[in-house]
Amino acid sequence: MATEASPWYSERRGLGVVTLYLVGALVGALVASGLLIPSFVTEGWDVAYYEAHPLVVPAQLYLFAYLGALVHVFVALLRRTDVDVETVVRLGLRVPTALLLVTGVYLAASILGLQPVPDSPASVRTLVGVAFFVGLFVEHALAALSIVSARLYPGDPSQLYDDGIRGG
Amino acid sequence: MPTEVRRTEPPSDDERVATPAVDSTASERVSPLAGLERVRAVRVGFYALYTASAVFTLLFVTDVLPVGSGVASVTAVGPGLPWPVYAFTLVGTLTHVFVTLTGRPELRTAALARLALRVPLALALTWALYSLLTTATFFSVRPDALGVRGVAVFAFLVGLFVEHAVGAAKTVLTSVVFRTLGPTVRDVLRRLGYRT
Repeated sequence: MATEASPWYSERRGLGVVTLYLVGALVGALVASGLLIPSFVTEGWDVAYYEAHPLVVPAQLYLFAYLGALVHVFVALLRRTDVDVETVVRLGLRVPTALLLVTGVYLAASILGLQPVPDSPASVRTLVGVAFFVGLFVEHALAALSIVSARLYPGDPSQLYDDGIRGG
Repeated sequence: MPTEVRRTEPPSDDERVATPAVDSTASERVSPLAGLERVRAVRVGFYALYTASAVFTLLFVTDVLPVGSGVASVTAVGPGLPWPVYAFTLVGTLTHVFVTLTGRPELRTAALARLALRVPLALALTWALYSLLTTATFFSVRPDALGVRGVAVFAFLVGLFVEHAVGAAKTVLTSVVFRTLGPTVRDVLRRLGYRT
C-alpha cells in the first residue's frame, strides 16, 4: 500500500532546508542592499573594465538571479504548502539553474544591444532587473534562448530538432 | 475478474536493488538496504559533481578564479577559438543538466551518468561547428568586443541545445559535401536508397 509522503514542516530535514533558503534569501538581500559587503554593489560594476574584457561576466548579475530564483522557491512553497521534503529540495535546484542560465542571457542581451553604458546607472539597473527575471522565470528564459539557438544556424530552424522549442 | 496491469517503463534503481534475484543462494544474497544506500550515494555523488562543476565554472567566467590566462585575456577571436571560450560551452551544458535534474527528479543513475557525456560532445561540437561555419560558410566574426561575446553566446548555446548543434552540423556538412563533390555523391546516395 502506498503511503502518502509527509509535508516538509513535519520533518526536521524539511524545516532545515527551508531555514537554509530563508538564511540564503536574507544574506542575498543584505548584500543587494549594500549593508553586507558594500563594495560589491557600490564599486563592483566598472563598465569600462567589462568593455575591455568582453568575456568576463559581472558577478553582480548572479546575485540578482539568485534572489529571483529564491523568490520562485518561496512563491512555489506558498502555493503548495504541503509538499514533501524531496520537492522542497528539488525547488532549490532552480538556484544553480538560474545562475548558469543568466550567463547566456547576459551575453545574448549584450550582443542584442542591452548592455551597460558608462555613467548610466539606469542601464545597469535594467540589466540586473533582467537577471532577476531570469531567476524568477527560468522557463521563459530557456524558451527565448531556444529560439535564438534555432535561428543561429543556417537552414530551416524547424528541421534542426523535431521536439520543437526545448532541447531534450 | 482482475485485470493484469502491464508495466511499460523499466524499473527504477531503487526497485531493482530492492528485488533480490530469484536464483541467488543465501550466501550470495546482498542486503537490499545496503544496495539502496549504495545507489543513493552514487546519486548524491553525481549531484555533488555537477554542483561543484557549476560553482567552479561560474567562478571562472566571473574572473574570480583566474586559471592561467583566463577569460579576461580574450579580447578578440580569430580563426581558432581561444580555450576560455569553451568554458561557456560548459556553462551551457551544465544549464541543461540542471534543467533536466529540476524537471525530472525520477532519473535513474544511468541517466544521471549519461548527462555527463554531453560535456565532451558539446565541447567537440563547439570546435567542429565553429571551424565549419567560419571556413565553409558566410559566418564571420567581428574583430571587437561584440564579436567575442557573440562567439561566447554561440559556445553557450551549443552546450545548452546540443540537438540544435547536431542538426546544424548535419545541414552544413551535407551542403559542403554536395557543393564540393557535386552530383557524384548525390547519385551514389540515391542508388543506396537515401533521399537527397
